[in-house]
Amino acid sequence: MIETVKTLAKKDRRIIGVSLVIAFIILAIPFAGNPFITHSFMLAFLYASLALSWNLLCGYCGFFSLGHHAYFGIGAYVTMILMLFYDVTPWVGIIFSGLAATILAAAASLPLFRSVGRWFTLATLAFAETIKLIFINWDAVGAAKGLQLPVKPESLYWLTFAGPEIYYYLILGSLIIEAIILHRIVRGKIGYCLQVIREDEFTAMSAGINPLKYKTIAMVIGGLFAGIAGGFYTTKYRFVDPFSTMDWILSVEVAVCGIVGGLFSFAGPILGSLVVIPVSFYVRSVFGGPLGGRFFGVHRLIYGCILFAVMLIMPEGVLGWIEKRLPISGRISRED
Amino acid sequence: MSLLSINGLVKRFGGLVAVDGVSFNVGKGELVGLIGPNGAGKTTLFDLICQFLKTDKGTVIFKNKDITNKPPYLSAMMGIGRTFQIVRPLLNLTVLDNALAGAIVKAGGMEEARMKGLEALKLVGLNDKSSLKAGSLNIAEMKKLELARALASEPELLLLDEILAGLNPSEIDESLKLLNKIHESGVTIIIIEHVMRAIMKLSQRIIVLQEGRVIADGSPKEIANDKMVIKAYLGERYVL
Repeated sequence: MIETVKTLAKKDRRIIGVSLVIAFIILAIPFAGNPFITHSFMLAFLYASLALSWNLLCGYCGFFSLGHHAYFGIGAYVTMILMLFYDVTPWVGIIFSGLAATILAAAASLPLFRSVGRWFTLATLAFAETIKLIFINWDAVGAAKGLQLPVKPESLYWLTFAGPEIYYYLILGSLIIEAIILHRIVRGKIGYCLQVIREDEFTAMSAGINPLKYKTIAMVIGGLFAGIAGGFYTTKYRFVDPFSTMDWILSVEVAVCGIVGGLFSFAGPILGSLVVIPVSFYVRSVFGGPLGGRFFGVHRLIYGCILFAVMLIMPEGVLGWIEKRLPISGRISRED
Repeated sequence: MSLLSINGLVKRFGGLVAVDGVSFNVGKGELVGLIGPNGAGKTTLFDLICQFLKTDKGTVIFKNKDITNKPPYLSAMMGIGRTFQIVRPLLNLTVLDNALAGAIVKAGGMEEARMKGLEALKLVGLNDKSSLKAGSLNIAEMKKLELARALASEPELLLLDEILAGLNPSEIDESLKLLNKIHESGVTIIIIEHVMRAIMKLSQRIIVLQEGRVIADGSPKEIANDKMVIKAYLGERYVL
């Protein structure tokens, strides 16, 4: 008994130590003075918030969606429209972005959840592409040309800053809040019921669990945080169009982040994003330029090879790979 | 007033009539055995009572409410617990997480549900395996786990589908004791079983199905001497 208490304490100390070092590195990155690195990790946080919200439905409930970009795109548009046409501060706009994505997710749930398995995946993709087509043809919101914010002086009220540093901390903060809220949800009744449904929907029903209710909850919460992420995207890039904010590749990248990190864990999608996105960003900037001119798309080839290598070396996902090598397993994974 | 009342239930699968106009009442506190040859429609009848299958004709009344063709989770919430003949464990979850599934909807939170799950595991004798993955259990333990999940929901009516199949004689005796205990605590039970020794000892009343129809309904003694039942199912004169 005393033995276990001691080892636990040792384990705890190690976890606290590792976490502190990681936290310090993350907070210190912008001070390294390299806007390129700061920018790539800011993007990683943005993807992490998307992957985390996406995994509530995928990892916990087993419904693989390729329609997450619709919620992100709606979020990006709502903040943009409110800033551009109604002079509303993005602090409020981002809240409305979340709300709009929530409503869209709630409306989409009923028809989408009539299908299961790969058909569900196809249905979500078709749904999101339909939303994109609507925006491509919607003249009032710029149609295919998109919307551009005029240049404004730096201000906290308009969330306008020159470098990526402040966005870095803003998006990191929003990711942390999202992670805390989602962690509470998955450890509670909702997360548990989602897992029961993932394992066996008939067993869930025989226990009195209404599968559609919990699937819809997962979809709506996922939509909420994806919409908020979309709002932050608008404040940083100040330009939205259907092809950049509603491209289905976005959903594929979110899924890649989740799979590389590990779907069956809470922190997996965050870690996956922190690995995949900076690598992708770096490869694109190095090989996408002069070399890309002669061999078009060579950066994608290299990126694909790196992904292959990661999957070969870490078939259990980045998180599973780390857990095997560090004695911290059972702490961040939900399989404890 | 009967707890469960089934009136003229019909279920067709294409040209096959699996349940063909079945009617009976089950009063509160009864322990009813449901027997019959393979393919008689016993499990289909359970699926109709739990609303896992859509009824073609007839009604299922539970606690004076018509639950015919309502969603299955509603009948579960109203107090119908069931086990599956082909076990349906949540393989990647722990034994405790499997058991508490039954309790989660009515419980205030995870802690309360865990307590109820643990109680149910204790009752079926699986509490020492609560932290193992359900996938690591053997078939007899999985059947017990099915029962624990159903019990955790604190059902008023318990539908048990062949939970004794595959158990050895001493395990069967143990399970019979447990079922008697559950019954004495006030739970109404309908049990499908092929182990005649067990069902004759356990039941107060037995309903015999053949080709989707009720061919006999009476005490174990009456059933054992019924000519139609002997011809259709028991095969020879069954001696109690």
